[in-house]
Amino acid sequence: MVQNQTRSAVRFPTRFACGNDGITNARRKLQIETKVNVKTDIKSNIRQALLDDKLRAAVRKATDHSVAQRDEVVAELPNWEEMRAEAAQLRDRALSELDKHLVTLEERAFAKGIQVHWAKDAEEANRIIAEICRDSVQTSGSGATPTTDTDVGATRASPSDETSSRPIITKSKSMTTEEIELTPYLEKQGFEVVETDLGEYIVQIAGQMPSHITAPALHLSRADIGKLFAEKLGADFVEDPVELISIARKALREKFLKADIGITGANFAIAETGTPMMVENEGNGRLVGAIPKVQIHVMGIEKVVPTWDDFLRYLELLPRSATGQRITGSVLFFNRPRNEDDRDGPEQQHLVILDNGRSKALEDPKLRSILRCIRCGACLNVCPVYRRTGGHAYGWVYPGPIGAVLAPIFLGLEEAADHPFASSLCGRCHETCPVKIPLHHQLLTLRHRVVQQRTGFSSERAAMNVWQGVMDRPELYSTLSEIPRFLLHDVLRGHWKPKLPVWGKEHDGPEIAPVGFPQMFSRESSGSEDDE
Amino acid sequence: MNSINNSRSRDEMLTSIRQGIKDLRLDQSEVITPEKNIHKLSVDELVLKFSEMLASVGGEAHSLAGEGGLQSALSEILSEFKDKTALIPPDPELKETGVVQIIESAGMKVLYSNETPLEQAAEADIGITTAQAGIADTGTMVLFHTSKRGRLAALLPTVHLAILKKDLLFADKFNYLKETVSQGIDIGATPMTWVTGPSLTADIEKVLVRGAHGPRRVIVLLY
Ligand code: SF4
Repeated sequence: MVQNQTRSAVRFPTRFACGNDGITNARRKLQIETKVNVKTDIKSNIRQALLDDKLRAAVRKATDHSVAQRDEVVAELPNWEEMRAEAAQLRDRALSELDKHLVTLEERAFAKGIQVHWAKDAEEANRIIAEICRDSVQTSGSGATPTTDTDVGATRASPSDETSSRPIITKSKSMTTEEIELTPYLEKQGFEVVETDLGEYIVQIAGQMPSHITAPALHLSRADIGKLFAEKLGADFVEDPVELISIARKALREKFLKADIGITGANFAIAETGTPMMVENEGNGRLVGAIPKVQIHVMGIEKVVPTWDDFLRYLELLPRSATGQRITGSVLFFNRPRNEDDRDGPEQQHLVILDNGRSKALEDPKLRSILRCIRCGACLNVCPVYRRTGGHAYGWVYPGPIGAVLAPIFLGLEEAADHPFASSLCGRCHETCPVKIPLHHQLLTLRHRVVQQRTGFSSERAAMNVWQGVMDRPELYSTLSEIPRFLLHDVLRGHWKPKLPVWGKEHDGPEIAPVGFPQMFSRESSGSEDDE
Repeated sequence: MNSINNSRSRDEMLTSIRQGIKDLRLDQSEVITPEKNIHKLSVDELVLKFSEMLASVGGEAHSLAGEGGLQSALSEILSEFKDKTALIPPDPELKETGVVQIIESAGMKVLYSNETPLEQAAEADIGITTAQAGIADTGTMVLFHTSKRGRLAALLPTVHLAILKKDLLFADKFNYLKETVSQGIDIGATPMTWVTGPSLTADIEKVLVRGAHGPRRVIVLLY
């Protein structure tokens, strides 16, 4: 059922499938137009990514930096471990009464004039949002009308497109809207959708997908971005981040001021006061929240928290884990729409509550704690796989350990069968996770299920079955294990030794013992019995 | 679309959620969340902490002696902005504290955020507002966006200057919440933003750059 609900999520346009197009600098193509069904083939993506030294260096540098910053601000808090434990408990408590909190959130938000919508899956969420957008531009008579040109949606229309008279939607960064592929959907409906977080903006005009939950353009160098801005925005080529940012500020200012609709995610929604809220640093979220006449927040069902007290505890953990900050530059509380005396803020405010496979995860005792996730991205930064491959290799919206667990849940076990294997099971993700999700256990559980589910002949499974049969019978095991020793020592008498690959090039193998270990062991133990 | 929408999906989702959590009803009493300590700090300590933390994220705080101190510090800062434009909200507190008069006597042009077209407001050189509270341990100011205050003056110009009464400083967010609730203020009633220092980004090679889409320079005058 999960699979059915989210089947559409698997059909990434190639720019989302990314593989190497998104990441290999020399071969980077900025515009890819065809829509193809792409399996999220993580194995070949990883192989490609590993060949890209430049990518690996960029990811390594960025993740090292993030980890160091996070460690520094975490070290300031002597009771960090208690805070994590407490937060994990609080998240579980909130999830255990999720229905109740959602209903409270709905009531309180509605009482303040925020309209609440429920979406079972990506398709429904997109439909609801598009309808709100269409209605609002029709009633406001903003002059701009959506042009339903199917070609428009095929590529991410360049936000610098001056001739556009389409209604403008400014978006602040939201992984949930990436998950449901809202932007291409709205573009197909004739809207100009502009990502306003700098990293998101960069990947948008590059025609790529974000490669990290909190740092979407982490895989690109300043020179890449300079070239991109020169090509797409007609700016002079510069590499200095300060200059690059002022180019983006100028380009986006215009969009901010003209925007008809603002779309944001929600880091949390506080039930007791009906408050969707988000954190950001650039001021883009503030502009998205201040100017457009219509405001839409999209949240997963798990983002509801019962009280402000709970919320403040997560607010201690989230910025520290995500960006190594004590608090983000802005924390926004979208408490209500504009009233008649207000001169800014949205006239209409909508909250879309999305399931999209989450309630199914809730039902699964082994996996449900994944819904504690507050999307900080810390597990990505420490993951030995992510650090070598970057985010695009995962082939879908959520990379890293969190993505490797979510992929089989959201896309289906078959579609994302390789994702749980993209991990060394070292457990660092769990150690760093501010809400103590046992990610490594969940990956193991999912691996187990993948193997169990495989039908048809598998040489691995056949070998494992034989192995199990032998291990279950000690006699058989010791007889069989005697054969190679007998051949190598007694028959070939050391004239030929097996060469181990790679390792064996530099090392000599051990001498073959005249007596096998099982025999030695049984002799020794019977000997010691004699002594007593 | 003015009632609670799409009730079928709502029901199905709630049913599915209830199905998901039916074995999960935790004994709520088992979860103990210790109350956060309430710090009692003196005003001077709060001012010091706030200033230090704001400075650590690239903002400036100035501790001033009362309204007199505020006014003289303001004239001094605004002398840099002669012939420039200030964007301010129609906040009566800015009049009462003499801020508006000082802006005018500094030779600046005043634009009111509630009556200036957006494009023009966005060109202003400095936004001057009040702040409604300060959170010392992060150097954060709390902005309530009531009709008289709005959002734009603190947001559009590259410089934001806020005035904040010292007795509105709190040790940390938990203290702030507790005090606010105990004063009977509904924290969910008015749109609110917590602002800590200048807007910033590290999206290009993790290089920290202050001044992204919001203000590049943030000054808080504590009085
Ligand atoms: S799983 Fe934990 S560490 Fe990873 S993004 Fe979610 S909250 Fe952060």
